[in-house]
Amino acid sequence: MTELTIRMYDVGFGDCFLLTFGKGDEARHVLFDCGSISVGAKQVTSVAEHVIESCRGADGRSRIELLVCTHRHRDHVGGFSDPRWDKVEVGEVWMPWTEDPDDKLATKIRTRQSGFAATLADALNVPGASLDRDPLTSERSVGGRARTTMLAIALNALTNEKAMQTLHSGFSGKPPRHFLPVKDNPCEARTLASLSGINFHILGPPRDEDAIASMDPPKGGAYIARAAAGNSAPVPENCAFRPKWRLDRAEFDRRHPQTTFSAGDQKQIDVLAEEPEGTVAAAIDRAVNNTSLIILIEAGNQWLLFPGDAQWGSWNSAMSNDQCRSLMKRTTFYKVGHHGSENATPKTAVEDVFKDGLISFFSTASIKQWPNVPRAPLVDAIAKKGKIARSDDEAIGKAAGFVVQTGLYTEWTIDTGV
Amino acid sequence: MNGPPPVAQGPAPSPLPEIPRPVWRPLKIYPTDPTQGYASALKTSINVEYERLTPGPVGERLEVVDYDGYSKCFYEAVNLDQDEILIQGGLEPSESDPRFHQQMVYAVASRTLANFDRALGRRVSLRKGSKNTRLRLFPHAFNGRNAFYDHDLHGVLFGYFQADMDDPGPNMPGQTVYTCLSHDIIAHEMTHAVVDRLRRYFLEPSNVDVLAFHEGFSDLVALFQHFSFRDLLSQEIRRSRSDLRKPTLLVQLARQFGFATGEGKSLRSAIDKPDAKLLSSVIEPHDRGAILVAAVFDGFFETYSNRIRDLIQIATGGSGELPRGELQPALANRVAAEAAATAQRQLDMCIRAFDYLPPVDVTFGDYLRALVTADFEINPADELDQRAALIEGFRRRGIYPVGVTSLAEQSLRWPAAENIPNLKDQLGDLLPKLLKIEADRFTQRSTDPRVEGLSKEHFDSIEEIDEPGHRKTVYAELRAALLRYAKSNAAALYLRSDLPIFVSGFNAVFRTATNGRLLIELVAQFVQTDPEGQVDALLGGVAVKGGTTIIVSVDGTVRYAITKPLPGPHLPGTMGQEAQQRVQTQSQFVAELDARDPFVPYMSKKQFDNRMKARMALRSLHSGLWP
Repeated sequence: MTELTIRMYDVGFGDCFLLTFGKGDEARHVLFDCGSISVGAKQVTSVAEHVIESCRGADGRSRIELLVCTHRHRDHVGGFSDPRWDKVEVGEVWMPWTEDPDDKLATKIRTRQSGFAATLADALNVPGASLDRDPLTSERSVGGRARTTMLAIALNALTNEKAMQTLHSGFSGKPPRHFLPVKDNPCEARTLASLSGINFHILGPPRDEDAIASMDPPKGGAYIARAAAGNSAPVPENCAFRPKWRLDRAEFDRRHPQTTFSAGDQKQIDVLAEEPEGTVAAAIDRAVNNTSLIILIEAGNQWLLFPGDAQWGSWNSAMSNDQCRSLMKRTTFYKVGHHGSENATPKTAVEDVFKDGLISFFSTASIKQWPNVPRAPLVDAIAKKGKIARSDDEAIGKAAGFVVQTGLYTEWTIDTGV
Repeated sequence: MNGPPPVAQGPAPSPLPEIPRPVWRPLKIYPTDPTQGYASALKTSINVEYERLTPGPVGERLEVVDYDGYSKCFYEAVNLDQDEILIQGGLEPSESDPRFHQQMVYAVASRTLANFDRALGRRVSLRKGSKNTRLRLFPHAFNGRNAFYDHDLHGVLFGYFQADMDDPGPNMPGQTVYTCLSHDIIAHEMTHAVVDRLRRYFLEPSNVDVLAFHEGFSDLVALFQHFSFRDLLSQEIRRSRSDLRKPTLLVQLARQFGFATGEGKSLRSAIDKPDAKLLSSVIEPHDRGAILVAAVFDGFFETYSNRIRDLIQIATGGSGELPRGELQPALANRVAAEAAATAQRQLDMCIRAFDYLPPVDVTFGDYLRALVTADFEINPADELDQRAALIEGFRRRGIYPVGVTSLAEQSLRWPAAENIPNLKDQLGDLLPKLLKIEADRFTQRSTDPRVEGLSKEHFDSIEEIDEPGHRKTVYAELRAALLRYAKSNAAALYLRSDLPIFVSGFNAVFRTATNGRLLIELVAQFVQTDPEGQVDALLGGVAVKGGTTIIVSVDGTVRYAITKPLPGPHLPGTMGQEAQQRVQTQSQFVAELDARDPFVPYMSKKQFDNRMKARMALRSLHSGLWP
C-alpha cells in the first residue's frame, strides 16, 4: 500500500481530514476530526455521510482504522453527533490526554473549561435562545459584532455532549480509547497492527506545568461571569454593602456640588464594570486549543504533521524538545493549524523548522468579521515553502495540481515508497 | 434663666495667639489587608499630610468617589473633618463600613503621593484637563477580581469580589474581598497613576520592558512602604530573627488577594531565585516586573545586612551568632529602625531616578543607569555601598544596559552632556519665575493659620500646559521658550529639526544632598513622533517615538541629555544605527505578542490596527488576559 491520499473536506471554518493508505480492497482509513462552526449542520452531515461512504469496504461495512479527535472544539468534533457513526467500525480512537476520564488533572481542566464556556455563553446569549445552534450562522440579534464574535467563541468551546459521547463510547467494534501522549513518554512512536509500516509520533499536547497553565481558562471567573451578564443581571441585595449605605445620583450631587465626577465619567465606569473584553473569550479559545493532539505521521518518505489547533505555548513546548524538533524538521505535509491564524503556526516553525517543498493544506473560511483568518502574511510565508491548497479558495489547490471535487474536498495522492 | 453669663462689655481684648495648624492628620489603616494573620488582623495608624477635606474625602489632589458601576449607586461618603472622627484619629478599621474603606484608600494614596513628592523634590501635580480634574479613587467601582488605573478616566478603580469557593485560603469561601482594603493594591495602582503623570509614554509598550517597568516599579513602591509601618516591621523582624530574606509579610505582596483568588499564596513577592536566563524568556509584564523588583530588593537586603552587622555583634558579645528563638524586643526595635531607614533611602533612590530616565521607550538597563546617576548626583561618596549592592542585584539577573562597556559605576552613569548650549539665554527671567512657583508649591505649609492662604495649591505643573484650553501665563511662556530652545538646538539635543517637538514635561526640583546642600535642578522632556512608521498593521497603533530628557543646573548649564532618538542623519557616530535598531525591536516585539495572542484571529480590522493600544490598558493586563 504505497499510495497515500490526503483529503481535506470543505467544512468552512472547521476541520475534517481523511487519510487513505493503499487503494481498492487494501485501502485503510485514518480520520482527523469532523466539525465546523461556519456552515450549517446539514452540510456537516453531508460531509460526515461522504466520509462514511468513502470508508465502505467490499463487504459493505464502513471501517476506519484510526479516528483522531485533536481537541473538543465544536469546529473539530461537531460532526460526530450524527447517529450514523454508530454503525461505523472503528479500530482505535485517539484523543488528547486531557480527555482521560480517569485522570484527575484532566478532569479538572475539562470541568473548568466547560464551566467557563457555559458561563460566558449564558451571559452573552439572547435570553431563552438555545445554545445548541450554529455559532456563526445563527441570527445576529445578540447586540453587535464584538458580542457575536465572543458568543461564537463561547459556543464553540461548549461541551459538545453528543459528539463527545460518540467519541468516548460510540462507534461499532468497541474501539479502545487512547489518551495521548502517555505520561513520561514524550515523542512516543505508536503503531497500529492494521497499518503496518506507519509510525505515529505523538508530539503534544505537553504535560508540563506551563503548558497545563495555558489550558486553564482565565482567572477571575466570577468577575467575567458577572461582567458578561450586562444590564439585565439582578443585583444581589448585599453586593458590596447593605442598601442603607446607598445614595442615588441626585443625592450625591446635592451633597457634593464641587465634584469632578461627571455623568460621562459615570457612564464610563458602567462600561468598564460590565463590558466583557474580547480577550476574555479568546482566552478560553486558547485554553481548549492548547489541549490539541499534535501528531506527526511517518509513512515511507512522507512525514505528515497534524497539529490540531495547537497555539504558541504548546508549539513552543514541542519545538523546545530536541527529539520532537528534529522529527518536525522532516515534515513534508502540513495541516495548517487553527485555520491559518497568526498564533497557531509559529514564525520560527515556518522559518527554521519546515523545509522547502512543503505541501500545506488550509482548512478555513473567510469570515467577514474575522479578516485575520487566514492571516495573509502567514499564508504567503507558507506558500513560499512549496505548494498550498485552501478549502476557501479551491482554485489555488487546483492550480497547484491537486484533485478538487468542487464544494466538497481537495485531495493529494502520493507514492510513499513503501 | 439658663445659658451662658453675659460677656462683660469693655475695650476690645488684644488678639490671642491662634492655634497652630496641624502638619499631619493621623488615620488608621490595615498595614497589609484585613486577612487574619497570626492573631487578629493587623491595624496601624499613619500620618498623612494635613489638608482640609470635604466629604469623600476630597482634597487638593485626590478625590474619593464611591460610585459602584455594578450596583449603579453611590455609597455614603466619609467626612474626615467631622469632630468625632478627628478626635479618634480616624475611623477604626472595619470591613463592613464603606466610610472606613474611603478613609483607607485616601490615606494610603496620600502616603504614596508624599513619598513621590519627597523623593522627587517637587510637588507632583495630579490635576488634569481643562476642568482641573483631581485624580479620582473609586473604592468599589465594579464587581471583579481586579483593580486598575485608567488613564482616560483619570482614576483608579478598585473591584470587590467573592473569595474562591474551593480554595479561599484564610478567607471564608464566598466572603466579599475588597481590593481597596489592600495597602499593596492601593499603593500599586496609585504608583501607576503617578508614573503615568511623570512619564506619559511609559504605558506605550514599545519594547518588552516598558509595561514591565510600570508594574515592577509599582510593586517596589508598595513593598518598600511596608517598612514604614513600625509595628509590623518590629513583629516581622522578631519572627524572622532579622533575616529579611525570609518570606515574611514584609516581602509579600497582596496576600489576601492571592489567597482569595485560589492561588494559595500571595500575589507576588520580592524574592526570587536569581536567573540571568529569565530575562530573555519572560514577557508578561508582572512576571517580568518581578525580576526588576527582585534585583532592587537584592541590593536592599545587602545594604541592610551591612548596616545591622555591628548591632548584631554588639548584642551577641562580638560573635554575631544570634541565640535561638525570637529576637529580643529591644534589639528588634533597633534593627527595625535600621531596616526602616534603609528602606526609605532605597525607595527615595528608586523614585528619584525617574528624572534621569529618557521620556520614551524605557528599558530596565536605562533604569539602572538612571538609579546610579541620580544617586551619584546627590550622594557621590556612597559610603554604605548602596549603589554597588544594587548594581550587583541587577547583574545577577542579567540586566545590562545597551551600550555600556562595563558594570563599573563610572560607565553606568549617563555620560555628561557636551556642547549643548546654555538654557539661560533662552529663558531669561522666566527661570527665576518658575523657581519661585515650584518652590512655593513644594514648601512645607506654615503651621501658622494666618499664612494658610499663601501656600495653597494655586498652580499646576508644566505637565498640564499642553492640555487644550489651558493657558497659564508663566507656563505658556515657558513652554514657548523651551520650544524655541529645542528647535534652534535640535541636533545637539538629538532631535530631528524637520519634525514637530513636543514638551512633555518641565519641572524644577529641590533636593538636599548628603553634604547638606540644596540641589536645584531643572528637568525637561522633549518628544517627537515618527510620522512614517507603519502605525496600523505593523505597530498596532502605537507609533515609534523618540525624545530627550535634559537635566539642567540652576545656572542653565545642560548637564545630561538622556536620549532615545528617532533615526536620522542628524545622529552622530553609531547612534543612528542604534536608533534604527530600536525601531526594529519595536515591530519585532509587536510580532512576538501577536504570535501569542489568541485574540488576534478574531480581531476586526479596527481592533487589529489598534491592538497595541488595547494591550496598553492596565485593565486587561491586571486581569491576566495579556497574550
